Amino acid sequence: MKLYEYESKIIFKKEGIPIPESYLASTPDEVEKIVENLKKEVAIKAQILATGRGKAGGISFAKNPKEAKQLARKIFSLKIKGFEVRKVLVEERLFPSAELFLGITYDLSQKTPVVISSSLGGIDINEIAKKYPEKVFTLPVNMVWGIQNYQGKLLAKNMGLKSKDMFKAAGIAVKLFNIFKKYDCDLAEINPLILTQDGKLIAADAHLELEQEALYRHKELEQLEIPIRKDSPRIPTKFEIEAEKIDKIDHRGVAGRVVEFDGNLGLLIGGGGASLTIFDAIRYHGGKPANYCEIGGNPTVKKVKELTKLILKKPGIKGLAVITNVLNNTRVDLVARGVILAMNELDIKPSEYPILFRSAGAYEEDGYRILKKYKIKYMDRSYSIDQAAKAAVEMISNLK
Amino acid sequence: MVKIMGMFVKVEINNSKCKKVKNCKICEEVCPVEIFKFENLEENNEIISVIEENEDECIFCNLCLEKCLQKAITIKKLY
Repeated sequence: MKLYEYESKIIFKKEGIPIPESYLASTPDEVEKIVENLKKEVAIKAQILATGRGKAGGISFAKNPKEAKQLARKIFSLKIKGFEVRKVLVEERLFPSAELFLGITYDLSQKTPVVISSSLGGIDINEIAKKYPEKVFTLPVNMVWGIQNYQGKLLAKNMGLKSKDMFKAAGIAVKLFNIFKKYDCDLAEINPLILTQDGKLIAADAHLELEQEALYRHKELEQLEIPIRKDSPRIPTKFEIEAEKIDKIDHRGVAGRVVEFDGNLGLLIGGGGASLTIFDAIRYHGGKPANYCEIGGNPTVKKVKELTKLILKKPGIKGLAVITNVLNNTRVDLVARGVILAMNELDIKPSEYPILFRSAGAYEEDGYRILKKYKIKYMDRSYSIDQAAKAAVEMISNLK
Repeated sequence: MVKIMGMFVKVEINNSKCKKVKNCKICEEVCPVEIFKFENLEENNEIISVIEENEDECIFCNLCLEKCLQKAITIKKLY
C-alpha cells in the first residue's frame, strides 16, 4: 500500500526523523489560513499516489498567504498521472545547501534489504543511477541486525557529508531502517533529504510503501489516522468485484483474484503460482482469455461453483478451460464438483459445452471418475500445461 | 427439474438408530464442512438432519462415521 507523503511524514515524526513543520489542507482557503498562521515562506505540495508531481506542476513555493491561495487553486485544478489533487501539504520552505537521497528497498536477487544513498537528491533515483552511476552507493543490510552505526556513517559519507552532518545522517539512516522493518515496508525513501543552510538535516519528502499482505498486523495505522486501502492501478470492474465477494465467502482456499479481459475463453486456473504460466501459455497459442484467476489451497465446492457461474455468465464466453498444475493441496474432485454444479445450475449440459479439464494431484482418480460420468473432456498429468493450453485454444477456434 | 444439490455425495442418517442417544450432536460437532444440523424442536424431540445444500461439500473425512455412537450414518459416492 502506497502512503501519501503526509501519511509517511506522520510515521517519520513518530519515529523521530526530522520533518518540516507541515499542515494538510483540502481547499485554497485552508491553505491561506495556514500560511497566515505560519508566517513563513511555504511549499505547497499536491498529495497524490504517483511520482513526478514536481515536473507536472504539483509543487509550488509561496511567500505570502495571498500568493499561496492562488497557487493552491492552480494545484487543486491539476490532474497528475490520472490522479485528481484533493489534498495539499503546506510546509515551511526549506533552503537547502545540499539535496541528498536515502532509500531502502529489497534486492530480490540478493534476497536482502539494500540501503541506497546518493549525494544527488531531488530527482528520480533511476535517473541518477543511469546518468551518474558512480554517485549511487548501495549497501546490503542484514534484516535482523539492521543498520549498524558504522554502516550509517558509510552511507552518509557517500552522500558527501562530513563530521557532525555525517553523524546526523547516520542516525536518520538507522531510524529509516527501523521504520522499514517495523512497518513491513517494501520501500522507504527520503528524496530529497535536505541539508539546510543553517546545518539541519530534514526529510523534505517522504515515500513509504507498505507490504499489502502484512497490513493486517498494523493496527497502529488506524491510530495514526492512516486508512488501510488496496492499491490498484485501475478501478476494479463489476466482474472483479463479484469475484472478490466469492473469494470472501469463507476462509478456505482461494477461488478469486480475478482480472477481467475481453476474450472468449473462460479460465479457471491455478496451482502454486501456475496461473500466470497457464495464462501466458493460452496467449502464446493465440487464445483470448476472458479472465485471469487463481484457484488453490483447496477452495470449497461452493466457491468453485460460484466462480465458475460468474465466468460462464460473462458475455462473449465461448468455452471454459479448467487447467491447473499438479496439485497436492487442492482436490481435483472438489474442483470438478464445483464446475459441474455451476453448469447444472445454469442449465448447461457439461457434455455439450466446450470445456477442457487438465487437473492432477490430490483425489485425481475421484475427479476423473466425476468428469467421465458427466462426459467432460479431460487431460491427466501426462499432458503438460502447454499441451492443455494449446488444446483449449484449438477447442475454441474449432467451434462453428 | 435440474437437480442442484447432492449430485455427488449422498449422506443419510438412520433416524431410528440416531434417536437412541439423546442430545447427541457429535456429527454436527465433528463435521468440518457443516453437513449436519442439530435442532431441539421441543422437549424430547431432537432432530439431526442433513443440510442438503452442503452435501456436495463432503470431503470423505469419515469423522462422522467414526464418531457416531450408533453407527447411524452412511455416505455414498454418486459417481
